[in-house]
Amino acid sequence: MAPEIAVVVASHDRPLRLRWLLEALADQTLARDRFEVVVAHDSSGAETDQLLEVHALARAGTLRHVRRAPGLSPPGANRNAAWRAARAPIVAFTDDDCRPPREWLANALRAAQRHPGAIVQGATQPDPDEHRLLYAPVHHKQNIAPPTAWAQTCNIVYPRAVLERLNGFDERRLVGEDAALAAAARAHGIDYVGEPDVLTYHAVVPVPLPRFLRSLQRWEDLPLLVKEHPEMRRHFPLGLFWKWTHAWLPLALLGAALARRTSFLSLLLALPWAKTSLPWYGPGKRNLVFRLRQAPRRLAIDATEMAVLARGSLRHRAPLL
Amino acid sequence: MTRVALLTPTYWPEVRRGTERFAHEVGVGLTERGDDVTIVTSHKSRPATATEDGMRVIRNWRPPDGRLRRRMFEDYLTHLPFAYLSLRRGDYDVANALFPSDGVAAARWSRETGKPAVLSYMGIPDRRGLVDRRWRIRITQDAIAGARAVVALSKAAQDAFARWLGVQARQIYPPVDVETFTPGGQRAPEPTIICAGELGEPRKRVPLLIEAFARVRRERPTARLLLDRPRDAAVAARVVGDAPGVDLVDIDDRIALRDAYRRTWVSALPSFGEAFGLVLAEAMGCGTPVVCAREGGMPEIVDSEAVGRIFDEAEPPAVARALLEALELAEDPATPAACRARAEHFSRARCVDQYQSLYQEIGAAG
Repeated sequence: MAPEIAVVVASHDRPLRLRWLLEALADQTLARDRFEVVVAHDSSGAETDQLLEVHALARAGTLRHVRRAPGLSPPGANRNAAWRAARAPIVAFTDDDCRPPREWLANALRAAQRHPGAIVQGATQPDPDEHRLLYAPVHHKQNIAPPTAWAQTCNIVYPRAVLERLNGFDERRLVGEDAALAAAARAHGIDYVGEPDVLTYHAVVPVPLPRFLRSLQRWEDLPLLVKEHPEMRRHFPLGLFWKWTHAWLPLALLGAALARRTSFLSLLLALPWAKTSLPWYGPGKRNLVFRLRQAPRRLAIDATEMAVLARGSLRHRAPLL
Repeated sequence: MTRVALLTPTYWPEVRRGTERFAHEVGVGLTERGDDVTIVTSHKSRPATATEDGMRVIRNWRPPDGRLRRRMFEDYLTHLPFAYLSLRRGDYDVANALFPSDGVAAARWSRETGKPAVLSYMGIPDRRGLVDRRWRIRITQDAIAGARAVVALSKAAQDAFARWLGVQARQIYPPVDVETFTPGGQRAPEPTIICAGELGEPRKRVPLLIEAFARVRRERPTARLLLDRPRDAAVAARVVGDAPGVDLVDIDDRIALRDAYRRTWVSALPSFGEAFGLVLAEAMGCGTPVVCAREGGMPEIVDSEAVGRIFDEAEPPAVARALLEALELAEDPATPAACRARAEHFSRARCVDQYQSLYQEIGAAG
């Protein structure tokens, strides 16, 4: 029996998280013969290949993989290689740092059948098993209430026909390839719907600040998205900023500059940025202190992001900060 | 003679849990065979070195780690530089860590000296546990990568290593002191159940046992349940309250624990996530049948209905049924011998044999 839905995963040097994803896929309520899993990876070392060869899903014939040259392929290249190797008419994309609950795939297939021909974006939440790590000052996570314009590939279902028609993801860029594909699909009149029941969990990964700042360099390609799809600007604050925190940051900096002259005005100017940028840990004085202590880190992150985007804006000749 | 360093973040008398007992039993067992054993551990006081039970015990200073714990970092990190220095200063053939963070120190020592490190993992690794603390995944992976052998306490733990970490661990059951935990004395006249699990530790599910025990009392009104008295009286008040028939006893000391097992009819451990269940095997050494959940490594101990009962659902009726059946089992004259025979399967001698073979295999035997 041909599989009805393919799970497509792009992986890069995360064999442990990939293992946990495969365990979660092996535990799905959807019958094994109704789905296939295809992983494309450009990981270095033998661990990922070994895992993909000996995992129970591979032994059962459910899992296949595509090995690409080790390195830093853009994620779109890995995803394209994987979905092209899949056979099912429906393709569910997820990431190697996600852990879908048992009903995820059954819900994804049902949603795709409810909306034939449409792109279906599912919900993504920080893994409840990793909630304690949200207290780490800098961490990587995803929290998506669908539908969003960004069409993140950690949880999205495409008809294979749409992928073929649009020739898959743009392999040139490091970020925004998912949003660009969805924007192109919408421009071709393809429906785009959100299905909160198609829920998956994303890892919460604490990251040291210097490494996090270095990782932001890849966002230089984001202005390319608004250059190619100007209609996407309406999803950005004031059509110019990536995030509201970026819009408020110049005001906060102005407030800091005026601090010696007028403390009230400087506080007033800093407040919108502080409110949107500093993470909320709950009520109480202790939490407030903890929140305020994040200000230097958040400032470093927002400033770095804006600098990276400014460089990207010049490179792609499309302003986005 | 092999010079063995056993690394554990805490040791007697500061902490008396399974890991500390493991360190003691393996250490004593190896020492009795002529090996030179040093326990490298830590405590909150000044550094100290002593000879205890024929072993050298180095207690390094463990700086306060409250801030790190509050920030969700992995436990037991602050003593690591001292543990590493102790290894470098000593002359060991093998460093056997009993906790992943110590495993990182052992791995570094191994890298720099070329001598082998072993990681004996005291729990069952699983995804949820590995992501519970910052740095835990990395520390565990580094400790595993730097160890020439990884040891799991049970087949369940061995399977979990393969499933969650992709690691082929060896399996060696932990040592049970069947020389101390022997049958003897008289059983209490009334049906008595003991649980040596830590009262305040949610994983031990003592409240479930207390609920089930209330059902047992409906059929056996004179039944008693003995629980390990916690250091914090508030914990006892919160967990036990005024449940009828439930008493707190002091069983911190091994002889007191042995005497308690001898007096009681059944030993129960309703925990989940136990890699082995040492207290079950110790109770069986005293001829006492046991009750446990069908989880983790415990069903490997209770391999037949002649030595205890296993409950499948963590619900009071299922636990109560298992307890009542085990109380009946305790009245069968054949039960103490069956329990004792099963406990001997996990003897210290058998465990030490396997560790000596392992050390020899990885090139550590002196």
